[in-house]
Amino acid sequence: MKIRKGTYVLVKTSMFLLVLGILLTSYELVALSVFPVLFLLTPTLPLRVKVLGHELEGGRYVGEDFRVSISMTASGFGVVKVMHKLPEHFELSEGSNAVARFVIGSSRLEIDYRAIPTKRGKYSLEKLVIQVENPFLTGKLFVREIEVPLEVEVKQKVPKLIKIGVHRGIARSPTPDVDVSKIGVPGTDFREIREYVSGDPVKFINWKASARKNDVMVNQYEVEGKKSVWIFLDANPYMKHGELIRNYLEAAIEVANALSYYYTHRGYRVGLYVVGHRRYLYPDTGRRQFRRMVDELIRVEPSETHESMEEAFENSKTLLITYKPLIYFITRIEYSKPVRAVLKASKVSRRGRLAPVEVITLTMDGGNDFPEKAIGILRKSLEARIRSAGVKLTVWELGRPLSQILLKEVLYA
Amino acid sequence: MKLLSEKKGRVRLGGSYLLIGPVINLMLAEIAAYFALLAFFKSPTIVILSKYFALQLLYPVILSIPIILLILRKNPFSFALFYFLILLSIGNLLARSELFYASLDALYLKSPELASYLNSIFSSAKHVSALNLLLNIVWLFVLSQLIWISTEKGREMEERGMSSRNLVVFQWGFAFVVTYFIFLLYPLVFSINLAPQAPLILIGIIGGGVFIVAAFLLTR
Repeated sequence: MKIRKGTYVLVKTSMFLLVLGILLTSYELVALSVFPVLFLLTPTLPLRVKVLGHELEGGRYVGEDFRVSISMTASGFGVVKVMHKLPEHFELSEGSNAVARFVIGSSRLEIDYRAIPTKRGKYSLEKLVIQVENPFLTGKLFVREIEVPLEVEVKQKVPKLIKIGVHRGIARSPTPDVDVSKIGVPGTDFREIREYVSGDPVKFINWKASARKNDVMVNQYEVEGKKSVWIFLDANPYMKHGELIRNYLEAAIEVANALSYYYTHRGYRVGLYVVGHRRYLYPDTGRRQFRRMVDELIRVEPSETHESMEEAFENSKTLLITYKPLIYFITRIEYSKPVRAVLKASKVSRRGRLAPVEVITLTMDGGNDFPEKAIGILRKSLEARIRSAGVKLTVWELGRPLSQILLKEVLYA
Repeated sequence: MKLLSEKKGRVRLGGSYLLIGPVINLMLAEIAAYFALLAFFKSPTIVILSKYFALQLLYPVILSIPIILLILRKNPFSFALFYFLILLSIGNLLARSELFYASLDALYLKSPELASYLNSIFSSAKHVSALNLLLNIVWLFVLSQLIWISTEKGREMEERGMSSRNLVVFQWGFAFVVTYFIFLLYPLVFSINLAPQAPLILIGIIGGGVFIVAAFLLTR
């Protein structure tokens, strides 16, 4: 049991006088030794705290401050401290989330502060911790909690991308604004005549062409909807590296957020695979899909177990073959070494010389010490191997604007 | 313990009232030191010590200790000072102490002249009671410790951005009122003869037990 400082001081004083009194057989000192301990008899009386009102304004995005105000009344006698418990990812920017009062009878307590959330997520701010103690700060400390219905959902701000860069040289437009999907509802735009295969609707049979060819031929129309985009977001344990606010995982999520916003708002189907957690989101389009993506990204934390990019690719291979999407790998290539996964992915989607795979690798300025240099050399080697496979690679040094990085055109032979 | 000035960069301007805490403690320590000196000059030990030392110098020396402690950024009324003040006032208690006379008896076997001399000095002061002076010192020390603890708490809260002005000032006031009330009642309560009529051997055993428990608690 932890002895409180006030109690310790009073007991120590009393013991000193008592020991000296016994040693000197002094009645006066023994009598005086009772004086300090009398204050330990001061009881901690019950104190009632009632919440009158509460308010929460702002704080919807990471780095954007919000204001909380809670008004309470305390009735009784003693010292009361009330603290509004904040999650660890919140920083106080103004005021205090705690208040202390010496209460005699009834007193009004106000908590009013501003705080900044430093990480995305859904946070409950419902706990008010109340400590009650006697006026000498001795004796038992009563701690209890009461609840206020406060909750805040903090999202990452989505960088508004105007345009994403395209490959010149190998692919004319792997991400064009008018790129159409391989699957979907057939539209009215005629594409070609081909041989009938099982499952083709009878209404698409071109009878004249069938008669001429002496084989059943069908008309094929362009399908409605645009191409799909598939994002592999690396959430393996090594993505945790960095500061609380600015680390690799947060940066990767920012990229995923920006890409999903960009593509869903242009009518693309966007899907997501969280590497490390083995979770994925089916490709879909529209604002609802973007909302789903954001909800999923809010929940992403660094995984406990490691999953390689190749495993992630194998786990989502069926969907990739079906949708033939443009694939993004967002990772730290020096740790994930995604060369084989990237090659496999580019084969899945390859049509002629098209290789609609893009790797976005994240780096930080790590200094000039030997380990950092060694990692830098490894990264350069992997970058060269990925680029030589005909895959677009974008290096994002954290701290530079994301929109500029993604807009940058990569020229290679 | 550290003073405000060490962390003043972290304490808001609103917490400047916390500087009053050490000043109050300094005043209490000075008053307690004065009472201790009064007790010392009333004690029989003065007869012996005045032969060898210029005891008037003790006033400025002892009264300057709390100021030095404050300059050294320590509690002006620390435990060490309290122990020293109590030991300074102990002369009158020795005159009524059975243990002291027992040791004089032992000394008598070795040096009868010295033992007789000490006995003559101390036995003449048997009627002098130091209870009130000692009570003053103990009261002032307890009050200073309560003020110091609440000041420290207040400083911690100010550093965390909490306003503790109301709390600390009320605690100081409450501590003063309650300790003063008990201080006033204390001599009245102990003037009642509460000496138990139990056998001395039983009181001795209880005393021994309490002593062991107290010594154990003090060492922790």
